[in-house]
Formats: sequence, C-alpha cells, structure tokens
Amino acid sequence: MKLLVKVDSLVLANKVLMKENVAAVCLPAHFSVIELKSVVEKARENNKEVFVDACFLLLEKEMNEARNILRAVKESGVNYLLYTDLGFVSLAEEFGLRHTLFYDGGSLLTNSVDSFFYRQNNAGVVLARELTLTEIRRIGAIVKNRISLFVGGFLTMSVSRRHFLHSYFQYRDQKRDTKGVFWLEEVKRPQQRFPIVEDKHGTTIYTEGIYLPYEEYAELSELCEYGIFDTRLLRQEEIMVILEDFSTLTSENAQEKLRILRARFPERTFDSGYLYRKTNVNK
Amino acid sequence: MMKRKIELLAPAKDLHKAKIAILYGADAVFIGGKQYSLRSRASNFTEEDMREAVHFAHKHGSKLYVTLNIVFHDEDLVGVVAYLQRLEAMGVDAVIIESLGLVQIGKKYAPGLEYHISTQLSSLNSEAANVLQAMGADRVVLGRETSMAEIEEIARRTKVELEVFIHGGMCANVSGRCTLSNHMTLRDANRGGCAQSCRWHYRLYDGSGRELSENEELFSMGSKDLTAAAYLERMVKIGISSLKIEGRMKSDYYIATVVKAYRRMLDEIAEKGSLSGERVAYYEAELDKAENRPSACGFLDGEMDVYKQLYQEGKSVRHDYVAYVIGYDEDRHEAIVSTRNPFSLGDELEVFGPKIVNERFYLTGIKDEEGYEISENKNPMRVLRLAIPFPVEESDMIRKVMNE
Repeated sequence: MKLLVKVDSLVLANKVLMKENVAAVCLPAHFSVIELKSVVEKARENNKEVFVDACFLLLEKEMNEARNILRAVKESGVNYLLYTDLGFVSLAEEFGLRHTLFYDGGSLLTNSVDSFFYRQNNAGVVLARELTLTEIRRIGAIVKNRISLFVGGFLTMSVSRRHFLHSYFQYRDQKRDTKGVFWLEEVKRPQQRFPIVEDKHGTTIYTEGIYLPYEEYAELSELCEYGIFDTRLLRQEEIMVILEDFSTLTSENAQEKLRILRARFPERTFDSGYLYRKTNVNK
Repeated sequence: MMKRKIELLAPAKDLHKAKIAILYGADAVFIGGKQYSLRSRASNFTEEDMREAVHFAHKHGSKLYVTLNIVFHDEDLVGVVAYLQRLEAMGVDAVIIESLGLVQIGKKYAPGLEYHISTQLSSLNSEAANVLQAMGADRVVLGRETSMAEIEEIARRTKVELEVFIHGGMCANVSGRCTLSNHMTLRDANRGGCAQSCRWHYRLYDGSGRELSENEELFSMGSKDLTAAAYLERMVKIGISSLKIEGRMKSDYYIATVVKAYRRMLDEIAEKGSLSGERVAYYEAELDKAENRPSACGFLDGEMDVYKQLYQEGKSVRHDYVAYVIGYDEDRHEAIVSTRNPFSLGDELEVFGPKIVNERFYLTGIKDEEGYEISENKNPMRVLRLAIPFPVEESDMIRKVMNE
C-alpha cells in the first residue's frame, strides 16, 4: 500500500511529504498552478506523487470551474485527479488527462462488480467507507486488490448542495459567519456531536469519531493500492502523531499505540468505522 | 386523445396503486420488487403482480419500470442477473439502476431492457449525462439539485433521454451521498432503510461549544416537498423525456390526485401551448388536496434558501378523502363505495376520477351494508351506498369539499 495523505494547506503538504512512509499528498482543487507546481516539484524530488481532490458534484454552471481545475492539473504536472462526478471523465479527455482519473465514489462504491468496472476505466478506485472488513476482503480478492481504501480521518456522513447553516441562521433572524466548524447534536443522542462544515458547494456533515483502524492497518495495507488518510478537521499535532504511528504499526503493537493515542488526545474519539458495524436494510 | 410528447411517470407501491396511476393518466409507472429496491418499507411487488402490472400497463398504452436502485453490496448481487432476465421476459420496459457495473452486465444478459440511471448517481450536468450514455444508459434521471436554467442547458447539450423530478419528497442531502441513517441507526439509507435522520431535530454548537439553537427553534435539515407545476411548460418545451412524481410510499388517493393534476396540466399545455399563472395556481390548489407537508419549487428557481427548508411541521393530514368507488347502481342512482374517512349527510362532496373532473354534490342519502338508511359513517373500509345525482365509475374517488 502507498499512503496517500489528504491535506488542506501547502505548509502541511510540504511537511507531510518529508515523512518517509508517505507516498503521496492530495491537495484541494482551489490551489493555483504555481502553488501546485511547487508541491509537485518537492514531491518529485522525493520520488512521491501529488493528487488533486475534486470530489464534489458539478452543476452545469460549474463546468468552467472544472475546466480550470483540469488546466491546473495539466500545467502543474499533478499525477492524479481524485473525482466523484462523472462529468470529469469527458472533460479530462478534452485535456488529454484521462490517465490521471482516480475515482472516489464516496458512499457509492460498495461491491466488486462496480469496483472492477470503475478500476478498468480509471487509474484507481476508492471504496466506500461504509463497508465491513469482510466485505473489503471479498472485494479485494475479486478485483485482485486493485482498490484504494480510506485508512484514517473523519468519515463523511452526508453531502448536500444546500447551505444548512446559512438557512438556519436566516430562519432565526441571525446574521452569523458560517465559516469554520460547527457541531450538531441530535436531541435524542446527546452523547454524540457531529462536525458540520459549509462551503460554496454546500454542507458536509462528518462522524463524531475519527476512523483509525490501527489494529487492521497491516491487513488493510496488504489489500489495497493506496491507503487514504484524510486530515480534514484534524490538528497538525494529531496528524503528525498518527503518521508516525502508521510508520511503525504492527499487529502486535497496534492496541498499545491506540491506547497511547487516546491518552494523548482524550477529547477525541477514535473508532474502527464500519469495519465491524454491518448496516441493515431494515431494523 | 392528443399525442403525448412527454412522459408522465408515477410511483406505485403495489398493484392497485399501479393501476390507479395508469387509469388517472400516467404514461409510465415505476415500481419496486421484493429485492434490490429502495423504499423497502413499501409493500412492493411479487413477480406475479409485476406480470399483471406489465399486462395492465401495456393494455393501456403505458410502460412499467422496475427499480433496482439500491447501492449494491456484494451480498445483494446474488441472483440479480437472473432477476434482470426474468424482468425482460415478463415485458418490463426498463430498470432504474445506480450500478454502472450491473448496467454493463445487464446490457449483455438482458438486452431487451432499457437501463435508466437512477438519481442515486447524482447526475447534475451534461458532461456526466453524455458519459453515462456512452456507458450504456438509455436514460439519465437528473439529480434534484439542478435549476430549471441548468436543466435547459443540459437538455441542449445531450442527446440521452432525461428524466426530471417534478413532485414529491425531497432529500435534503444529495441522494446516494447521505449515510446519516447508517451512522445513527445502522439502517442503510442506500439499501432502502433510510430512517430520515435529516428530518430529526438537532442542537447546534459553535466551535467553542456554545449552543446556537433553542428548544423552540431547533436545527433540522428537513426539506419542503417539491412542486414543479410552475415549471411544467418550460420542461415540455425543452424536450425533457420524462417527468417523475416521487412517492412509492404514498396512498392511492395521493397518486390519483397528483397524477390527475399533472395529466391535466400536460394536456392543457399540449392543447393550448401554454399554462397561464392563473391555471398554475388552480392546479397547485388541486395538488394541495393531497399534500400533508408544505411544498416549494426546490432547486428549480436556482435558489436554495430558508424558504425551501422545513423546521417545523406546517400541515397535518386533512382526511378529506372519504370513499373509493367500487361500482354504480344506475337504477337507484347510488354509488357503491369503500369508505376511507368519516362523512355525514349534508356534506358537500367532490368526485374525481379517470374520466371525471371535480363534480360536486350534497350527500342526501347513505345506506349501510344491509340497505338501512344511516346518517353518517365513522369507519374505514365499509361498503356503503351513497345517493349521487350523476353516474360514477369504479376507481373514481370521493372527497369532502374543504373550506376554500
């Protein structure tokens, strides 16, 4: 497995690229050609790769924005474009960038038939986070491990093109900046708080816990091409500690490392996501 | 009957509702089988019922589509190819599906079916629609996040058939990209188990942990329902292939009311070339007779603001649907009905049906199962006779005239 780290700043990108166990960084799509070039150069010097994250859905009026992203990918020499909207497929052809396409279906890529189909047509595919370890093993076996997996970070619970925070403040006649992270607590589940973030594409809600499969990390590493660590909403200190742990994790020391991590960041919840949580059609 | 250039597509959760949808004017009906379909709490169709639905639809010049719109896990794939082949053999016209991998397989092993790409794939632009066509899609169901101007642009830039939602419930989040239900209840939203967690109430906190909500005005993501009557004329003119009504969980009364209203609108547009603001308002009032939740135009006007959100329930069920007609006694001028909600002598009632538009009368006589005169009915599912001054037919529906 190659470790791919999603970061949201150039400073963090450069810092992460210096870590020996990191094979690639993934930057948000809003960076300029010059900024991307600087990261690409640094990555190449260290024999590493750069991804650009365009995992959002495109409205018709946003096609020029998508073209600008592809232009930047081409001019900066970025290796791969992580995308979720199939509109990028035909746009990438326009730019001669079909070979850079790396599909992340969000919650949609959940079976071997689709994994095989998308992998045939892309440089890589990222499986849904809502899969059990048994399901991942099965898909891995069928598609010969030509899959990529999420190995750390907050899991996305929902994506909307609506601006829920803005609307809510409008409903309450409040003028408030919606930048930054807010938290939701369902009235009947007061023990859980979910991060909610708004940007120009809408609103994203994340899980309350940070997915961190330390005990399964070694096995997951064997099952996939890229393991994705998404650092969104994490503090730099947390990111660097987790990256350090990833470099030395074994099935023998995983439990102890997780115990130390929990002791160091007691305000955080770390969990194994869906690896052992099977969802039902009806309950 | 005038030539129908645009398809009116209605939902049905069982055979009776499929027949109602067709009789009231749907050009096509979409249904779910016992497997592979979202809305797992709908009663859904046995394959025997599907066969009858196909036969009924084709006899009336309509089509039948079957949803395979879950986001498949490997355990769900068992038997799916054989299922597609059985659907093909029974004459189903199309399947509505999210899995592109299965579309490739289906095209090979069940080539007689059309493959319509579900809104679960969230297609919001013409480039995606064109890519899907190249991958084998016969039709693309657009995501509900598109504005009317964007739909027009997409229609201009693609040759694939487009299907657009015009009425019914709205997901607050992007369809297929919401796993709130999975996380909070372990019910898989993408496999028919959605717990509608978006409609629950939440407290909102800022980054420092200070609460920004209040008990009386809690945060919610709940959306008003969609009504696109005001956009229908534009949709007809730009060549959308199919207009979709959402609601496989809905009652026969809802299906009949909504299908009938849109059927009349489409026929009026075809006949007169347009639909005035006054007529749109009239039809919106018709649609309102079956609604129990406030509605708005969704993303169609290009805005998605507080006016499209639903923080508190604004309506309750009206209970004005009083009876379903199962026969007519021509000699006695009596409608034989199956009751639904209470009514009494003296009530002003309104009949609507496949061939009848809002005929009103005052109820002057009710007879019970033994033929005795009674003054009121309080119970559902009784078979009664109502004195009625004009003929009615099986499948007509009777509702109370409410304050207007």
